[in-house]
Amino acid sequence: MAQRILFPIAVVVLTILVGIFLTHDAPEEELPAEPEEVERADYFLAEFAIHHHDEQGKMRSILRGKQGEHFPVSQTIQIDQPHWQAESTDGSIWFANSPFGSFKRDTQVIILHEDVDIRRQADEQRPPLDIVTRELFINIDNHQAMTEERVVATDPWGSAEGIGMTLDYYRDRLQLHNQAKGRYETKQGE
Amino acid sequence: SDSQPRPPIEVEADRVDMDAKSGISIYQGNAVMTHGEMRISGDRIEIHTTEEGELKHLIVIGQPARYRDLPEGEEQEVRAKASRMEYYVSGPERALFFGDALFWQGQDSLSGDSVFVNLETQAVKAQGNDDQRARAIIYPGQREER
Repeated sequence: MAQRILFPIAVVVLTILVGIFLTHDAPEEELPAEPEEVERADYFLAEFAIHHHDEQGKMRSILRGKQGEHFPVSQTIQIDQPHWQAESTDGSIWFANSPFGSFKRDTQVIILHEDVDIRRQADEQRPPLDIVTRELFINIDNHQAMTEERVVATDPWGSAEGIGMTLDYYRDRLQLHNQAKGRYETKQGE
Repeated sequence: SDSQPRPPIEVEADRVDMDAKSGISIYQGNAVMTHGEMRISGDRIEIHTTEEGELKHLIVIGQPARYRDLPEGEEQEVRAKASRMEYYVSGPERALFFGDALFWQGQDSLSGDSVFVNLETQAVKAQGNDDQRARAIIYPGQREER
């Protein structure tokens, strides 16, 4: 008698277990990922220049580009062959360029990507100063250019290198933040 | 001798501040300068350059700053310590030590408020002040005749 009762129960339990097993391992059907919204440029620039003026209206820096694409949402201009030029308070001229870069209109920051060449033009007091680094962030509002990458600054008689730099191009001053090394050639004994 | 090309001056420190207009670079934090056999260390090394960018002199500040060199033809190093040191590359090449200056080679020593060393003639001069007289300790017996 007991057997007649137990058998159907066992069948039911077995069916449930098999059902759980089958459904448990069934991979959740992957919902198709929503296509990432790709921002589109709303206008294009060619051979363009963006001028920045200080509070007194004096032009302080110019950003030129061979080609540019303006992206409205991120308020960014992607620039091909950016060339930046600025003037210090004493009139010395700084240049910087890189293969490509971007300009963030909302934060007024120019970003020069990859290899960046910076030059302080020679003047009556000083020879030219050339600086090589990467990924340079130029903040127009506080007239500082910063990088966290390796920096090598060279003039005719020597060089200084370090990791990370803050360049205040208004005051013609730069600080290399870490691992600073300098090398200065000396003339033959006089 | 002077016909040999002079070694470069190399400086290392935690960081450096460079004034591109005046040509002064200030190396700070565990600062060490080497120039051939010469070695100067301190907390801060200031590099002063000419208008062409050539290094003309440097100033070292330390607690104390330390100096070491092996003069040409000598077998024993000369050493010095002082709160402030100045090194001039030429005109003549010289090292000046200020503030509790002590300059020694082996057991011989010279101390005072300041000590001046002409690195081209190896002439050494010490100067005292109101608080500290200049003092020389020389062990004649142990110096070989040159």
